[in-house]
Amino acid sequence: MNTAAVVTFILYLCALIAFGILFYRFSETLSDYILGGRKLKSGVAALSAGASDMSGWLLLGLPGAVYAAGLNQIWIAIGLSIGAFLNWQFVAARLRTITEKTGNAITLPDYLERRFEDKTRVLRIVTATVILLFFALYTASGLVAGAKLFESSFGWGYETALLAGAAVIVVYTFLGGFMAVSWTDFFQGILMFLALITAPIMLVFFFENWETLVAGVAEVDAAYLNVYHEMTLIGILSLLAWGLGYFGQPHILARFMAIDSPASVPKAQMIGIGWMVFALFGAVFVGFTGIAYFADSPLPDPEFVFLVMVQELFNPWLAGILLAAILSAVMSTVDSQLLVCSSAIAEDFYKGLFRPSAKHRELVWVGRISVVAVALVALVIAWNPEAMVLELVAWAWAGFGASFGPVILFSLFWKRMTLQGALAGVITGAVTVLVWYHLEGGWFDLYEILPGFLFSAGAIYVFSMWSEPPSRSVTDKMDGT
Amino acid sequence: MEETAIPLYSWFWLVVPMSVVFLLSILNYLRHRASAKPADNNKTRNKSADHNARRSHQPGQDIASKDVPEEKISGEKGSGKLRASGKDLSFG
Repeated sequence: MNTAAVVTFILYLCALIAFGILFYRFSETLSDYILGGRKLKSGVAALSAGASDMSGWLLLGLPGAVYAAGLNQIWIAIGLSIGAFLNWQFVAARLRTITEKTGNAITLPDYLERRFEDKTRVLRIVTATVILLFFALYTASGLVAGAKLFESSFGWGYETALLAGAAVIVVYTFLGGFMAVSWTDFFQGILMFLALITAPIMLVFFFENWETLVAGVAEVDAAYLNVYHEMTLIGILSLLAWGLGYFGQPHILARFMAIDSPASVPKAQMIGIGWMVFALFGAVFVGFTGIAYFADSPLPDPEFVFLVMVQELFNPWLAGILLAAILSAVMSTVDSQLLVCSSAIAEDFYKGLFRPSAKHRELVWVGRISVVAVALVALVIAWNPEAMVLELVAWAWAGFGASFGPVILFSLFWKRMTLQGALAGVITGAVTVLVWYHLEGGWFDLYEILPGFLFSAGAIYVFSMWSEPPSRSVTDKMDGT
Repeated sequence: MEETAIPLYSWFWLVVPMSVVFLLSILNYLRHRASAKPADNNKTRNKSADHNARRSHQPGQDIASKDVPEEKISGEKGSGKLRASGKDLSFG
């Protein structure tokens, strides 16, 4: 890695920390620290949601998958874009409205408890625990991805890379909270977008024309041009089903809750979906051109296709910026997940169960300390590079999608839903994912999010209809929102 | 003979679904802007009508003349009234 790339990269890291310092004074209440006081502008909400959602998968995983298997990997991109669109369309504005109406709930567990007037606090405890467990693993996977990138780009040892990456993320998240995270996500999202637009343009020039590129891919394996190659119905459904995960991802739903007004949602949707669609096209294209580019010297690790192409084709300063884009993708997800974990501890456990009369300042500091605590736990999990945490990302995505997705959707649209239905939905979704993941053969090869989502929805309906209708005060809460 | 071009059905799945999703989000935004415009125009019209009324105000004359339409401005961004894209949320 040359000096230009290192300098560019260090400047990028300093800019991130500067955001943390800039927003330090902004956080006067826990609502400021966790949700930016619900003042997020549409553009920032859109790109922050996109960048938080798409981790290293967008610049490493997807190009690597296309490089290794061809255009049949497009199905996951289709599923994700449809899921994200429907999430903005049906969830964003309603969730923003209802969480404010139900006592200004700033976390999902808090919202669900208030929505169903759960005096037992069980729903809060169960959902906050699920968030902490899954996100600790998810955060660890992000730190592993970041460490491996540092390792391969700068030649650092794995542990050093892990600590350095975690340190930068923790500093700006600790200091600046949600606003620092959202604004760094915004700029990271721009960087990711530019990387995924610039790289394909440069690659077209490298190959002179489109026909030459396609012929080069066909020479390696003509089947790479076929979206149905080695795809079964179960395979296609499994990839499309990734889109269902959006309805239950706490770090994305937090952006909806934080947007400054429901009226800002359509603009945010347009920006967010536009960003996502172009970024996905760019990622697929990078992997596709990699097939032809590395035809004579195949890569040992497909996930490094973007990284190696950037280093070989681009000017060192530009390569440094594009490397920063790859790390941005990882960091923008880890910081959002850390903050959601922090909110679960500070708002849902500390204030919700133990210290309901805690002062604002105290809660903000509990939030900050929680960021550090969760990062330490994630570091311990990530310390072993062979820990296979990366494989757990798909499982965590399914876990949230299946256990929270139907509960959130039903809670926003169905008055008759009860507390018992909500609990049944969360537990059924989580258990289905856990069990289905370990089963094989036939329909059990289906990605567990799909049966988890369907069984959770069924459980919500059945248990809601079996239990006493919700009280007037619960249904009145939903009237006229 | 081996395929050396991307088949049409591959092009379809590569381009159409994600493009449709993007176009729908643009249409949604434009529709939202169009429905928000009459409220914005009323606000602007009221402002300039008020301004003209103030400029032409003579002592003894009632400033709230019949030329100033008393239009109700429904809840907008920042007004404190929550409204999701111009539609009331209904449940049940």
